[in-house]
Amino acid sequence: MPYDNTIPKATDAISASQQQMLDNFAAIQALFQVNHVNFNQANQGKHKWVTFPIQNANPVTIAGEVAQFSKVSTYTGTPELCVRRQNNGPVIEMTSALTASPGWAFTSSGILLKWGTGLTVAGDFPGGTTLAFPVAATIPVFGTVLSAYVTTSGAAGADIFAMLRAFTNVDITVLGVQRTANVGAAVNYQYLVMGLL
Amino acid sequence: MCPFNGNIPQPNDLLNASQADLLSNYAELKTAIDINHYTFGDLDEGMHKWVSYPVDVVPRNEPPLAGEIITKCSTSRFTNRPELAYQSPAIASNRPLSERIDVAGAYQTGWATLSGKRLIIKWGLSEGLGGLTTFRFPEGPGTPPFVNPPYTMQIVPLCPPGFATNIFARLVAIVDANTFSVMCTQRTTNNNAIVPFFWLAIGTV
Repeated sequence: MPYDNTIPKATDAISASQQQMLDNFAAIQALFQVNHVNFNQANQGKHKWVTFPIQNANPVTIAGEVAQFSKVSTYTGTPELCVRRQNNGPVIEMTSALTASPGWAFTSSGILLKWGTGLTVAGDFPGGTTLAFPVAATIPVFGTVLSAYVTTSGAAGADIFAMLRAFTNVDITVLGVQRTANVGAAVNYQYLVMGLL
Repeated sequence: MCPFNGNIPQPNDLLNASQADLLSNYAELKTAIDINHYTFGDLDEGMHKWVSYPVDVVPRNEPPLAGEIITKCSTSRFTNRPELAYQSPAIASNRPLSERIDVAGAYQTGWATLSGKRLIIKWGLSEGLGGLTTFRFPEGPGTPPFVNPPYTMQIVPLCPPGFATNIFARLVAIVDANTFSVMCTQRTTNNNAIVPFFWLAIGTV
């Protein structure tokens, strides 16, 4: 029988209520032992694990609390573990990522990292070659960029060097030069850009 | 509605004395369960719609036992706001997972939590005026200090449009938990040069 919080009625005799109360205790235990360590067991009340069925809306948070939940990410298309800051603050998709190159990921604190590779054009000296970050509905876009890092990639002894020129929410500009002379060169590089939504 | 009463019924209570108490307790149980949980009779009864963590006003130190971890909410002494926190037997005190500084934009110093293993990332833009220079990692009321020398660093010369291109910055040493040294020269020679550079450090706090 389902849980019934309208019993016992004021006029009920114990004979009428006994089974209903028994059913209620059974329903309480059936619900409680989902996710929780059951009554009368060591660690009762603690969570064995927490199962988060996906939510269609972000939960409300008031001052002085945060909420952890799950929703389908518009980026990954799969359920992701999220946390919402107090006062209905921003939502951090803690587990969302694209494990590829180019790729991206959120840290547990909401920093967005994007990484990938590029190739400069020697003739773009001295301005540098601009590479647009991949664009798709499944890729988060920087609202604010914070910092960027470029690492030269190439064969041992190659006379090459990649220099960071500039970066924006949507692209990065890298200058490829010779390491031993200040002239342009085609240089492969890795980039890592940090920012916020 | 009366609060939940775990002391009823008493052995000598008649049903007419206990009825209201029992009714109240059942109602209070449902009210409590319905917070955060799918309710009785739902397909997902007992599971969590979400988990709301009110911040511990008076933090209770209840470290996890062997074989378990804890998630909770605690006010960060660096961000001064509630943060999702994590604790395992491997770390002595809880570690905010969502903790980070709010920065207005690019070219500003910042820091953020990477994982619950007390690992953070710090970043910033500095400028060497030529030759070997020692720089301090930012720290202060809103920025946690590294407790050990960072595990890794990145140094990237920044060559803004219009800036000289014959520049180079090289990490010389992660000196200690507070400082690092960088050599700023021309790229094609060992002559000193003014070099702005981005730096990034990953370490524990």
